[in-house]
Amino acid sequence: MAQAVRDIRRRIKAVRSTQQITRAMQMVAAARLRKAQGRALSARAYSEKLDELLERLTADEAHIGHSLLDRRPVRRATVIAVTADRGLAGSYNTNLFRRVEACLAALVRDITRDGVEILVVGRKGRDYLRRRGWSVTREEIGVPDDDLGQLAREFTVRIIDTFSRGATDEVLVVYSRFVSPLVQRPEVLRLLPVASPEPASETGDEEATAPRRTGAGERPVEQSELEYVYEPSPRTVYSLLLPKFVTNQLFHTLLEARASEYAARMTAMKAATDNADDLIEKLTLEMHHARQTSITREIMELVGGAEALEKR
Amino acid sequence: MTDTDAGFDFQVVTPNRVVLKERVTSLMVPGARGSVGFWAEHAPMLVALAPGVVKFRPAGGPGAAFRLLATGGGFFEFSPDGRATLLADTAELPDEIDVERARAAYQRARRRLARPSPKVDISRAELALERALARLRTAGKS
Repeated sequence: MAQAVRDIRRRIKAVRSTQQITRAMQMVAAARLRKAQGRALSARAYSEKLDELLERLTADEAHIGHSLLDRRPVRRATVIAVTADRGLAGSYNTNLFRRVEACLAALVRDITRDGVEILVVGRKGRDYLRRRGWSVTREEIGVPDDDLGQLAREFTVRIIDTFSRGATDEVLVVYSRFVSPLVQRPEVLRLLPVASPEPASETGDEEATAPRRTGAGERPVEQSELEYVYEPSPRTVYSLLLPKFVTNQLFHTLLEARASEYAARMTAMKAATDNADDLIEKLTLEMHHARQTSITREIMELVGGAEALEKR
Repeated sequence: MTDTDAGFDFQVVTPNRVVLKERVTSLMVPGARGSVGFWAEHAPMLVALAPGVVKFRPAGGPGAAFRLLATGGGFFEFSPDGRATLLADTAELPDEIDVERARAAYQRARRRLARPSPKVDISRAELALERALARLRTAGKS
């Protein structure tokens, strides 16, 4: 009888210590999310300016025939999968895996499995893809938030090299887009060939190629009377600018992926903490019940014993 | 030259942050083919930059001293409406520069260039040297 009470008490203690962990994880994720959002915000000025310059150069037709805009029939493709290093983030990784899988399946319909090169960020993604029998060419595990810019630069050098050599015809990145702290959506973005920001913004494949617009909208390109002077030539400036654009796009997907991860973890851990609260409440009730039952039983036994004595 | 004293807005942005937002009367940027200077009402221009030092004179009287900024390269735009933007890969003001690190990078690049081996990427080492030099000059420690 007292045994039952002790058992329940032990369980409450266990739940409570788990709850302490989930609550700590929730708070850490919340703090990281705030920082990640701050990062994305301070990166905005650069992105907007970069897009603006590219638009202007495109309007000046500096882009025509640039090799990074070259659309070829896709025989070989590169997929960058941006996942988390750790779990306990609700359905964050699972949703991503599903999207990666769909993306790979779509590619494999047209090209062979060997034609697909996979680069992966995050331990979870690597483990998953390996389990599913994909070979991962490059893996980046445990990259700190502060090094994402560096990672974006390294990846860009690599993919531009393989694309220029013709070793790949298309580079896609699968990542989780940060819509709001409650909504994260896995998406696929094409990095190469580049869909350069068009001055005439009514291009059909806007949906597929430019999903992350930070809300700048389509501002009309200024029809300035003054001609720009380019130093060196427009073409040179354009070909220097374009890799920065690719890097920046990739950098943003990495930032958004991190923000999404933290948001997902925060939500999951909040749910876990709340569940623990419910559980503790239920167990406490159960414990009181058990205690009451055992007391009642003892009294009954005493009374029974007393009655038995009296009758004698 | 009427309005040039009023200066123009100068903004420095990197992928990570907005480094500087200031009104200046003139500035000079390290173009890939030599320095280019700007006053207010300059013609619109887009310049590809080399790693180097940006010099700018904050608005506020003729006595205002030049200030320095180290950049690892990028682009500089003088827009038709007279605003200047430095779109930099990296950019640091003097007090943000890690002098020890820049010095170490300088020495490393010098060593690599002095003894070129097949493993050394010459152009990369040269760029690293330029960046380190720019930082040291900006910090006043060259």
